[in-house]
Amino acid sequence: MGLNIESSRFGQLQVDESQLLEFVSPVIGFENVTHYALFEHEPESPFFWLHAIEDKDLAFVITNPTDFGLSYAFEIPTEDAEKLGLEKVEDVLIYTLVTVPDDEPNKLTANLKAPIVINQQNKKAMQLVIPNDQYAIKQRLIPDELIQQQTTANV
Amino acid sequence: MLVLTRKIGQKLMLGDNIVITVVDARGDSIKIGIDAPKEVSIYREEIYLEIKAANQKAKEAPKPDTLKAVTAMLPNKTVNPNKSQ
Repeated sequence: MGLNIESSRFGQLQVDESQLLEFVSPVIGFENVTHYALFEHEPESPFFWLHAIEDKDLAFVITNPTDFGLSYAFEIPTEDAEKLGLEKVEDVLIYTLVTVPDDEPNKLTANLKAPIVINQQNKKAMQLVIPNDQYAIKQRLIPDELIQQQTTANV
Repeated sequence: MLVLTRKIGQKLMLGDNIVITVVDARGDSIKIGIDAPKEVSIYREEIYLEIKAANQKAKEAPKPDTLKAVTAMLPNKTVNPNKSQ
């Protein structure tokens, strides 16, 4: 079953029911939004969109930081696993919110401190806060060295 | 704001299903236990505010061209050495 959602960025968006997520614990600061659609930016792109159903202006770019070569692992507390109805670890999908500065897009960062955790079986999701200081809120995804290498290569 | 004094081991009820227990107090730190229904999210305030600000920033999603530029920059669409080598 398809669903039409209003989006100020994309206009009319058609999403499949399988792409809908229900947030059992909200994206912090956006407590009034509980349903989002998740879809890829482009085929093969590491970026995805998390688009609010209840707010046509609200959309986040998300990615899995391991696609950028970062190692990323954390424990999901039992209470949160219960909230998500998680039964096995294979059902977990992990994404992080991405911030891309329009003036310096290659300095994009991901919020590794507060990942989006999804149970792909029942489509329940939440923004989890990792309690220790292991991960940064603004983790650069592309290191400076790599940007410089690319600049050199383009000359 | 309601301000009240409690001793170690004493509890507070917030409504009828949130219980706050003063577990321990030493110097300027107190240890608090919280029992709340699982739909209630509990955060340390400073972290909550920091993440809220970061989410707000992330919400200013990039212009389509910006995202295109980043995607184009990624070798083989990804910089994961395991995938791109």
